[in-house]
Amino acid sequence: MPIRIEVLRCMGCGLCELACSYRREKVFTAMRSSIMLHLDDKRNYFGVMIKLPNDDLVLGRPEGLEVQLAGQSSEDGAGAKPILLREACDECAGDRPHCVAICPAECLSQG
Amino acid sequence: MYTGSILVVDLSTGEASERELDDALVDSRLGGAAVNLSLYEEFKDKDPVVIGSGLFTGSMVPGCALCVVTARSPLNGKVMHSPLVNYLGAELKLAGFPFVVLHGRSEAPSYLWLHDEIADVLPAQAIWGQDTWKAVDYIREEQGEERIQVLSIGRAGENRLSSAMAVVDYWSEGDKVGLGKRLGEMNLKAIATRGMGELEVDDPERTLGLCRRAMGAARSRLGGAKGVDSLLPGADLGDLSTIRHRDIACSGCPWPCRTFVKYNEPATVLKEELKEPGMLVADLSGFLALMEGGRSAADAARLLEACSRLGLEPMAAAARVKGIDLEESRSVLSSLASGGFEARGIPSVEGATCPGTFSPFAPNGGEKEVIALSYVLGICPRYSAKVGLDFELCAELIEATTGLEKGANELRDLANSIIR
Repeated sequence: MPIRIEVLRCMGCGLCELACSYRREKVFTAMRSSIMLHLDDKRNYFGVMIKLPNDDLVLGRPEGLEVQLAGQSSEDGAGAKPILLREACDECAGDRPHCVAICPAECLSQG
Repeated sequence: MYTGSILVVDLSTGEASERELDDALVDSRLGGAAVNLSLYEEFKDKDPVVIGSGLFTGSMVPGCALCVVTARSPLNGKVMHSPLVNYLGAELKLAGFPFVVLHGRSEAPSYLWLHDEIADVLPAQAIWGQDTWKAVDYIREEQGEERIQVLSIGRAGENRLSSAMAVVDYWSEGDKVGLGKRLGEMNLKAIATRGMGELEVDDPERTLGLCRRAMGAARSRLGGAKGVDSLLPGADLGDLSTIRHRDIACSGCPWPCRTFVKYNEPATVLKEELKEPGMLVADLSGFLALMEGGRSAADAARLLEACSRLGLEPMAAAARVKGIDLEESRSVLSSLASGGFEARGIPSVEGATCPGTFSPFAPNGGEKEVIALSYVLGICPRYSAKVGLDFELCAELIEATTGLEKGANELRDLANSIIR
């Protein structure tokens, strides 16, 4: 089941990134996750993006969700570039996704 | 739980040397303020500023956002620990420099750029004289990364005033002991860091299980608490609700105890519109001090922004602008940062624990051993004061992450050893 994002619940803790990387490599880092926090701290504009298996991106922005198709780039695409190099989300291969399980804000859910 | 090495920077020569973070030091002192103190003692004759991450900083242990700066305070002459949060500690650790010792004085204004186990001392003439917000923008632009964390000083620090504050990114935060002056004396405009490393643990499955257990307990205790008003329930925050935008957590923390307020556009705006729509209220004591005299939340936040830009400690400055209108207050703050405005001592924050040891950033109390151990483990003291710290669970987490066996009593002894 796909991971759902209610981005206005997000509080920017970054635990989803850590949980995803940890599941893949058993280390703490934010560099290997299929989910990524976008932070523009001075504007307090932040959201969550997830890389899908077909290389599409789900962009969870404060003003709403958007699917960015593979190969497309948005006006603020620079912030999404790092995630394009990473593995796609496999929804933790049927287990409860680690990002969903750890998210303290219930920004992420499944179903 | 540590990667990389101890970095020692002699700013007088610009030389940076690295040395191994040996197991014996971690075994005996674990990290954070305890290791900082050991390094401080070693370099004591050079009057160092020591920056360190805690054992759990940058992990999934709830509340693990803490970075600790240990240095002689120009306000009381004592060695004090300042808590710095946001993502600074995690990035520092993942950059490969869990501990940094600074001493000496740079001949020309400079900034320290820590990344990928590389330490660069770079010229800062372009941002010397600029406010902290411009310094952050400049460094992020120059290094090409939006998520670089920056500890910087403003005009007050450049002028080596004891009322100066070191600012994390754009926000007034945990330095209430004159660290801004210390960095100014070093001719050091900023320390910037971005980490791409990894933290290995001894037992990954056990660590994950314990982190989830701790998170479950934390969420239960927090009960949905959020915002700067949940930090000090009952405090009069005036009309804050009219400018409240979103509540923000730090790295790895389930409690968003900081509130972003918008006063340059409606708080309901969600899109990226204005580049500078408002201010993050993280420094509740400073914010409350600026509200005194009946100032609105919006105007207090505007003045908190002014203090952050100038790198001026807001509690010290508040008394000088009490009862003065906004525009004149801004002018007064600017003059204070330019002139000889010296703080009279470390500000008194009711409820702060061990004010002779820790910068009074956490106004919400907490048992002294809990707060001290938080400074060792890298857990935000505000979080620990709110949620508590289970010493038995900490011992389990230490064993799972490092393989070190520490009893709860041993942790209490270590905590007490850093309290002055």
